[in-house]
Amino acid sequence: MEESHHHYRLIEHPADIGFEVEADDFAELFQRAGMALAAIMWRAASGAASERRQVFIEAGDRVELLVNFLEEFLYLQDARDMLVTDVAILDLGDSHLRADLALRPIDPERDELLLGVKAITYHQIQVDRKPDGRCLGRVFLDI
Amino acid sequence: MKIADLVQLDPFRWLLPRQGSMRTDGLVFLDRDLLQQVAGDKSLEQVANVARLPGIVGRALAMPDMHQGYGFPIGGVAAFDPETGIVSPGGVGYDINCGVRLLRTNLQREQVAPLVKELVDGLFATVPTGVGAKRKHLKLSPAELKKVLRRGAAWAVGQGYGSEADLEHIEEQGCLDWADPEAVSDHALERGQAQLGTLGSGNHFVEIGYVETVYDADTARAIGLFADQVTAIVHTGSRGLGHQVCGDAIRLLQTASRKYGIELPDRELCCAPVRSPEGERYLAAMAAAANFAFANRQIITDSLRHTFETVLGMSPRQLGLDLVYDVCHNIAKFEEHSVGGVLKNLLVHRKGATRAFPAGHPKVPASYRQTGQPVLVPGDMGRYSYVLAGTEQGLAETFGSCCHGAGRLMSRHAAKKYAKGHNVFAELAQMGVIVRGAGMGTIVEEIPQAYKDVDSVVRVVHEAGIGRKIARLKPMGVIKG
Repeated sequence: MEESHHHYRLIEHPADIGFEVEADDFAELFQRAGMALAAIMWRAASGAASERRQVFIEAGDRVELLVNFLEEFLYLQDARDMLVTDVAILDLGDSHLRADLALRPIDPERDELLLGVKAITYHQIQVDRKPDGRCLGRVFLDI
Repeated sequence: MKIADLVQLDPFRWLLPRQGSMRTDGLVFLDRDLLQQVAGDKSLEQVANVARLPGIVGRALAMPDMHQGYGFPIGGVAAFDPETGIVSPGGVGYDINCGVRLLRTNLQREQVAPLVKELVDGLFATVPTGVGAKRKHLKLSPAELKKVLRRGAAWAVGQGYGSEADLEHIEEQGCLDWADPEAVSDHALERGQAQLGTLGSGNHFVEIGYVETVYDADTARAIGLFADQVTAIVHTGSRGLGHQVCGDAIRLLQTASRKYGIELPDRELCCAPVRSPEGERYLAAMAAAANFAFANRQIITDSLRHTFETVLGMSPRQLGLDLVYDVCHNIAKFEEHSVGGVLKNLLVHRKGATRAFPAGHPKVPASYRQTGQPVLVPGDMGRYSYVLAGTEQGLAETFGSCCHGAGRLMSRHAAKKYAKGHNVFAELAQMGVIVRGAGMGTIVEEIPQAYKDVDSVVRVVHEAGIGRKIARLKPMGVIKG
């Protein structure tokens, strides 16, 4: 495993890659997971956000919420040519999430693609509270 | 599930006897070395999980390039009874109809060898590569995109990308006619809107190579291949559109699995009865994404042909860049197979596995009816790729399926670590291969050492009789996503 200053650890997979994040509560966990995915996919050049996007997601449980939330990043990249530069979780329940994403257009000259991610998977996914009270999230990415 | 649970049937077959809630046995095609290579991952457990799914017919199978995937293992094949069985996006994969096509030429290796760098540069300039790659001038309206999803490769040919003759040499003639674009979400349509004709990232590539060895001269001749002949391979799939269709389906089928009381050994195996509204919706959307992939490979082929014409200064007739065949390796399709001597309609899932129908099969194009369907097995970017043909043995034992590639040996992280201190481009050049990629990261992750030796994978296929070797190709130039 590889520790990063973005509060995530990379996990090995035979063909793909995963990451883990920890946080004091689930809202912070989702925020860190979002920032981890952004950092794993892109080495973004500095630059102010040009747009904000509110996302509202409903799902059966927190695991589905996390997958759907992170999939939004892939949609923004492919369909809108946008990078996520910051994440704020406004409201998080067992089956709903409201988040505010700071975005800016991808600049192919300045932003470096680090990893092409096809999809967010449910493989060995975890969104749990550990015995020590900390929250743990684990996600594998299809490359 | 451990190696100790396996029963060796012969040097290339290992039975995973039915146990616990498995509904059938598993059968994996491996030699001892390949078995050791999957010992540390979860692919055997994944075969056992597939054997637990409702309505499975015959055994849960895995091909010799198997390794851990999501839901099904990569290399997994399973057939389900459409009346009692399920469909699972985990048996198809995120990159719906990821596949490979092979083109032949009238050219000899020595004619092209001095021009490989120019060809690679030309391809790199004309085929958009990388994860979010787009063809700006081919940004389709939603209505036009839905035509692509309905018609597949025929849409591309209708727009001038290739000819009717190409369609004859594509699995299912490049179109699953049960596709319904209305089953595809707006998010998926938006992701696909400008991605037609693009390669994508990961293990996708366009490769220029040559026929290095011919194993079966008669069959090679019949499918238009000869020693030292220049060839080209295109490997890509349905891009963001297909990935989104799969993600949407997994979301929908999590709920459907609970609704239909299907116990899931793994959430990635979420599924629904084939004849349920949820199952039918997924199949309609999956077929639409598959058609996008057929059109995608067709458009890239057009760029490839133009690049050859420009660099070599030859006409299409002189070049003879004809399509040998185009195979899907992430797909679920309705096919007729003999079960206990009775012909039955089955939904065959192939996840990282290739259809390999034998001579005489009605689904094989007329031009290959005497030889069997060409099966294309790309290796890694430094060593070899193979052309095989389907066999009767494969049809009887694996629902007419065989391997789809070499299979990964190292994780991406391990490959990066391995490549530290190596000049990957120089080492590939020493192997006679010129490579260009969208990013250094992908090239490093895709080094030849990250893959199993495709020779050993194909040897198992050939010796087990589920496919037969026709020719081996060697790469000269590659563009990677």
